[in-house]
Amino acid sequence: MDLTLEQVTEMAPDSSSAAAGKKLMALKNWPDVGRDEASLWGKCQGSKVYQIMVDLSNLGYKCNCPSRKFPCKHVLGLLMLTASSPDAVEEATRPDWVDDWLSKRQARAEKKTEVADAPKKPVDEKARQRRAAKREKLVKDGLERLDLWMKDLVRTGLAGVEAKPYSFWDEQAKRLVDAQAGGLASRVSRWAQIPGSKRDWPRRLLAEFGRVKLLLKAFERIDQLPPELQSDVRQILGWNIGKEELQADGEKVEDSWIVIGQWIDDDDRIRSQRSWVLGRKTGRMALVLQFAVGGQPFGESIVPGSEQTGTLVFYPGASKQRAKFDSRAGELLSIQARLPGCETIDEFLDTVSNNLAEQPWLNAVGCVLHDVTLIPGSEWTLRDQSGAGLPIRGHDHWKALAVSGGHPVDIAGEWDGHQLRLLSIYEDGREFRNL
Amino acid sequence: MMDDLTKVALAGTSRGGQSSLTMSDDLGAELVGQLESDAEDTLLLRAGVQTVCEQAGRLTTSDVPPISPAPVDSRANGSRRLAGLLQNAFATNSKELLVEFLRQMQGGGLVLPPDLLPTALDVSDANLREQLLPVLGERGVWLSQFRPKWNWVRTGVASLSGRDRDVLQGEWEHGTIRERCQVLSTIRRADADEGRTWLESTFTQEKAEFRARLLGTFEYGLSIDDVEFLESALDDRSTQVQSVAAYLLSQLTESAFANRMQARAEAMLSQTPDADRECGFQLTCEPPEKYDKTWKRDGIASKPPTGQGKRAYWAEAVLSAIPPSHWATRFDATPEQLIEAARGGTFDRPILKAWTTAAARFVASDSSSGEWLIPLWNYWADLADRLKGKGREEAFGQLHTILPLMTPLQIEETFLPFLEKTAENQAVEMTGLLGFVPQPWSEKLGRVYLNVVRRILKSSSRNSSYQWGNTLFTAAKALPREVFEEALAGWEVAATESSGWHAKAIVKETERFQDIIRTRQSFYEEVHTTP
Repeated sequence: MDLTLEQVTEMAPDSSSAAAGKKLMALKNWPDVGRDEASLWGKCQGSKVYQIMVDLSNLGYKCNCPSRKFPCKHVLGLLMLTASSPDAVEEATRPDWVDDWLSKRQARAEKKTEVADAPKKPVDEKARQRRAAKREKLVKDGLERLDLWMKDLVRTGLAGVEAKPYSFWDEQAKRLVDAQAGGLASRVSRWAQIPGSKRDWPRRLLAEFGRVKLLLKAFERIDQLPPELQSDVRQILGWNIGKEELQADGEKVEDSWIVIGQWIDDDDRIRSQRSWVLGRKTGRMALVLQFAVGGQPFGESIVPGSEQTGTLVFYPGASKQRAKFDSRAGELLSIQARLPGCETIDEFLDTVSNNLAEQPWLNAVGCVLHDVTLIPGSEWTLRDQSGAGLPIRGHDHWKALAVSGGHPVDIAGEWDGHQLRLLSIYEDGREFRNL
Repeated sequence: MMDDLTKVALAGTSRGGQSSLTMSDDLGAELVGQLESDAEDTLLLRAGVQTVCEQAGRLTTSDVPPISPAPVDSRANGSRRLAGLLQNAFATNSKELLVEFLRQMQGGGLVLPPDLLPTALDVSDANLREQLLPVLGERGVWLSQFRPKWNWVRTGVASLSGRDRDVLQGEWEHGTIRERCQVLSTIRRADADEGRTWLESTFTQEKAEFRARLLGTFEYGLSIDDVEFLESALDDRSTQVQSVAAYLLSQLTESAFANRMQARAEAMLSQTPDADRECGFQLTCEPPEKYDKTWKRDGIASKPPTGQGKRAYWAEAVLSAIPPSHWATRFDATPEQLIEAARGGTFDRPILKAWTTAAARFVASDSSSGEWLIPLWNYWADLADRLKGKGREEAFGQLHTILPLMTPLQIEETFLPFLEKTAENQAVEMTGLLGFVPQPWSEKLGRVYLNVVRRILKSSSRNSSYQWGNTLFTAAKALPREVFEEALAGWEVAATESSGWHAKAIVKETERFQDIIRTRQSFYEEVHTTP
């Protein structure tokens, strides 16, 4: 493990956990601590003596304290100790309690793959088809209703919709949920925020309507689309790809994967963690999504600024964007060398065009831009060496400006079609900082 | 194109207006034409195609003007651990720790790590800002130019030439009163005459409260050249402005004001032989019976504050404007003798209070006034010991005034024995005094303090011990590094006597105390190991 203290701090569920972890990070709190190639463990005196263990291949952890924070302060403390003084934790023979946990964990993971590989249980093919047909019908009806509603709106005119209550929009979203088109439902529920938000809201709303209209049209004629794009359309509407399906149809790519940046969308009751992951050899850019309800932790530790060899499995579709970790085999390292990236902003925008040509409903594209400078202003701008610029989302980028000092740096970000969200900054190419 | 679509969509396709749509043959029109059905479908589909085309054809903003990057700093940032300690100090808003850390960094030739700069620049506390200026480094000064609210950096480090002068001028004309005071202080420090000229040019147009605050900045670079302006300020309508001017003038011992005050003071104090006293004479004080109208201009009010007689008040007001060393020359006696001679007279308390105030006021500019600190301390410490109630309170109040002015040696000579003595009966007032000792404490004081407090906390957990326990917070920030190890040794707290609450609170205090000491210890280690 080769994480910085800062990266471990970012793993904390809240600032009080981070502070509590910091208090525990001194070696004197860890009378019994050790590590080997695959794991890290320690005992820590709390109300009683707790046993803390970490799986180094994927930062899975366990602590037998009763805390409901994940990771708890003990896990954080142990990781912080290891991050701040790697030599303090010596190689040792793994104690039984760690070994038990680790082998159970590995057994579980193996079982998962076995299950995936195992011949599928005989399913009642007829019943399955019946269910599928029923859903198709439900979705189709739901989309037709939405289409009718949008058409009614533009027939009578969008002027005045800014006065409509939230329920006006939410009702459409709820109907789509009922019609089992959950993906589209969450998109529609966000429409409520557009009217009246900015001067050009009618234009923005119409643009959203237009893109959804294209989606409805695409679904109407889905049989005429290439199979990959069909898959995209269905995923956007709300068909989920199951684990088995993903294992079977997903493209597996092995590489040294770099977590270039991450942010958490906290809009709804469900928090979604968006991690952009870049393959060092293949140059593939992937979006790894994790969801959690309320204060629950995300399933997997994905640490920004880390690099690890492993396999990503990409969801089927033309966009080849969303992916999931299939295995993370290598040692978890800090970023090893400068990130591959675009030399100019134009080069990046070309990529965006190509991506949109493959999949026109793409909402976000991740990027690494080489040698760009931050320009503060009423709207912040990212400027490349040729003087071309791209608007930056938000107004508080003072830390990034301070760190870069107005010099060219490498920046990782997420482009939403209008603005770039800054995710992280790399000084001298590899010194990572989360923004 | 898109705007046409939006117009139609806003008005509604039912109002007609599609004509403009059917006319145009923009991108995707052909495609949509194949899919078309009614006007609404056409509108929505074309909006969709437009949007995707626009996003796919998105161009960069061209010719974005560059900014000039921050100059290279010759000084280092220090380690990540140091950055972490600093960040914590900022986050917990521990001002005293920050001041110490920043001083240490300055001493160690370090500047703040860049990611802390925005937090540092957001600081609004004037003292902290002063400590921050030397460690902001080139990067911090550079960064401050991008936000008007960070202008305090420019005005703080400005010389009076070139661009800096424009920034100062701008702040002076448009800034808030606080910013303007900062500007004027900077200018006074760089060029006192220039500062006076700036203030003179706007003085009559300022509000009374602002006049007083701006005039207060004249303590920087105060000289005989300011006398004329200050004398004119004595005629100000506002008593607030008058008293600031009077205070400043009293510092200028060669001024006409000082001469007037001296004449008044000399008329009050006289020497009469007294064989009963060791010094051989007595000092008598005869303040005038009636208020002299010319006093008003010099900042002496006709009415005393409640609880004080008017003659006593006048005596105190006049005498506190005279450097105490003046009397040593005038009566050819030592401070000890003069204090002895005043003791027991009609106005002895006002005289001693005035001397204490005056010693505090002049000690910086007049070293022989510094010789008065120990004798004055002894006088008040004796009273504090003997009196009860209000008199004791007053005596401690005077000790508060003297303590911050003393040198470490003077403190060891006077305060240290007093601390040991008062600790024996666990005098609670003592705990308040500790906060007035200049920091960092000397090593000797640190050791004595630790011994005293350890003894008290070990022996009982009464209310008074609890009060002593509370001094640990002050001590945690004041103890010098030489006694860190001693401070970190285990603490014993007496078990509960009456209520368990005190003992628990004291234990908590000792833990907090050790946390702070450990933080400081780490900080010192980091600063001194950074190459």
